[in-house]
Amino acid sequence: MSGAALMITRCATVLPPEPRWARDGTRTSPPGWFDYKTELGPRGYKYLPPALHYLLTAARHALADGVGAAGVVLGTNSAVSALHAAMDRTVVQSHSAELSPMLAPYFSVNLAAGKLASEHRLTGFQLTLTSPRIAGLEAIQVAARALAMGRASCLLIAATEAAPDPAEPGADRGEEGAVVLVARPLSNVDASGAGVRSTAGSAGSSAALSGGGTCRARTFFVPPDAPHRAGEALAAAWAGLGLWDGGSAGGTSKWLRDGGSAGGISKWLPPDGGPRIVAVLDDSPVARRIAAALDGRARVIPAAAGCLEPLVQVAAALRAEREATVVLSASAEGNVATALVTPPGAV
Amino acid sequence: MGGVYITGLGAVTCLGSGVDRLWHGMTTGHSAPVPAEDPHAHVAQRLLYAVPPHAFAPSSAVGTAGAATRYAIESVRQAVADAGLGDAERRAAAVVAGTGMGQAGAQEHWRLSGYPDGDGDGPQWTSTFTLGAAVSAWLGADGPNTTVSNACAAGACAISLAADMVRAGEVPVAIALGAEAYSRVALACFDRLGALDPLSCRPFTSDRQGTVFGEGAAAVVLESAEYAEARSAPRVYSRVLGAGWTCDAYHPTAPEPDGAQIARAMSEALAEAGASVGDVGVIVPHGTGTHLNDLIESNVLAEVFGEHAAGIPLYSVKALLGHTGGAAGAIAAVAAVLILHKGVVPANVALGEQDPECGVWLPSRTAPCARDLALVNAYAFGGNNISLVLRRP
Repeated sequence: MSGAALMITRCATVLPPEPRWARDGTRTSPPGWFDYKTELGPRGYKYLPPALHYLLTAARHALADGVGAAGVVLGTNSAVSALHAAMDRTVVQSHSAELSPMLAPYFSVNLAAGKLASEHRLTGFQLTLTSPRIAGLEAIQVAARALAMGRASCLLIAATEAAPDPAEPGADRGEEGAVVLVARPLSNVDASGAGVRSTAGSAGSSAALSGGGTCRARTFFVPPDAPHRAGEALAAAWAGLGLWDGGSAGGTSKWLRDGGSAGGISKWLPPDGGPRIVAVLDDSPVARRIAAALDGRARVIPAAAGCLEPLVQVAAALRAEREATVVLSASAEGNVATALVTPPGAV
Repeated sequence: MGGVYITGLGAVTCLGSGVDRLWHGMTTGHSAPVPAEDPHAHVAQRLLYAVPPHAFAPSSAVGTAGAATRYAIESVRQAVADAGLGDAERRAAAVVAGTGMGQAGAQEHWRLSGYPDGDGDGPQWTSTFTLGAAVSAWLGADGPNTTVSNACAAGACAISLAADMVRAGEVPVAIALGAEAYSRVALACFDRLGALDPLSCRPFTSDRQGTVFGEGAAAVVLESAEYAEARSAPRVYSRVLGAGWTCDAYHPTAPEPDGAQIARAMSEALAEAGASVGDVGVIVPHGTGTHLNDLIESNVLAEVFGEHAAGIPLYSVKALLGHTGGAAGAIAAVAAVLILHKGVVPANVALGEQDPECGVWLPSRTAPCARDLALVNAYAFGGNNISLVLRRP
């Protein structure tokens, strides 16, 4: 039942400058923080939504130095949200004939991964996951399963988001940017020479993870009308990830026997604390129950509108020197994902 | 026996609600698109194979959910009942939903009429893609919940992803579905691209002029053989034996001219199934009615199936139901399961002269499904290709 693990050999991010969020959780990215002409070139990219600009730029960083991949698993929630709204206004106020024929295909959210695939000849496959908030973390699980089943030998795991239409409620909490990880099956990587070599460009940065970091992820669902089930489900997911030697030491099993859903994880966590925990959570009932189960042991990052931030945290954990990290996130709709990330120095 | 069992089916289409209605429509061949009832859609072509307004009574639990979510939940309700899943199976089930546009139709409505009130915690941005979560919430399920949005291949992707979850031992039961409803934006973009037929969806005909959208949803219950047998599942319709996923990596909308990647998808699906082309008794093609898609798929079928191609019947679901986008692959799979289960390939909808360049066999009369395997193809914008191989139990 444990989630298959994979090796991450490279990660790249394209993000607005820090701080990306104001105290009230609204986006602070300065206008013009990203210039596609600078990053991608002056021609051929004008008629693409911003989420594709971010994604293509991050992928170029990740695939530098002749690194190759066969396919991509992309997570996104808002890549074409603003585009849909703009197109809709045109059709309502004018006519479909006024739509740009260059932009029209991009109403389909999978065109982000499709464009990435065509730019890098990723003929293996592309999958676009859109599960609320967790699609980025979920991409790790889906990619690991696909690699384990032999559907590809090397994959990109990615998340990209763009600011939603300003007229939509909560749009000021929209995310901007992209993360791309290069993933292989564990067995295909030479684990010698562990270390991190980072480079930075004008809007993006990249890290080659010599020896590779590892990731594994699990997802589950907490019905919003039954948030009390969150703690138990989280415990089961972490057991599935192989944390704390699973139930063999009695921890998980004992917690479940004791009715862990009613309490926090402190009585389950080993005394020495275990991995660092980073939780990207909103204020929904599901997230509040997850937060309660974490017993104050996690660094909680306020969730924004999309699925980018959890994968940003995975990339940050991979670049950490030695410390393993558990990243988790939950959506108000009930989707929950958690990943165990082990950077190269800790493998 | 290998593969993942299909033990329950559900469907909502322009023919109405229920698998029986789908099969009845497949065997009688009557359907027609209607103009989309949207006074705000300023488009040249507006035909739609619409789900009838009162096709089913929606669950009271769906709240402000849009049509795609209502179709999704209804198809899952049928499939779960058909499979006889109890409370324990429902709670443990994974849900994998395929949709291209998700709740876009609802968002378009809200854009004009105002957004629904939030939960009192201030304005929260809501993704278009909450359909899968709504299904798990309705089921009360704890299992993994995935929404995959590979456009018109999404429904087939959902089935393959769910089958892989079961094969990997992650869950004993998974529910896979595809769902799509009318979206003004999707209709307008296809209209702008000149990809809509003004008459009807007419795959493989000489004078086809594009596709016509349809609404609908289909769901399947997938189980490991051991689990289905242990719980004495009422019936096993079919097994998912293999899948092939590829990407053209060629163009945003146009298929790769030589069809190399759709050929690879078919070949890999057959290889994963441990099957040969001679084992296939029916093919449910992607066949949208767009000129290039139908031509290239026909050419590749001839290439992959060689001397067997002329003797394998095709059943075109889109000729009956229109192009149901992210639901299409799931509806096609349910249609293929029904064909295998009944042992009969219904006559294709009579649409006019077949394009002589599309050298596929589209029976105009009922034909026997003489072999145990079905091949289902689903393709999408962005060069997404997937083929599924299903087998009689």
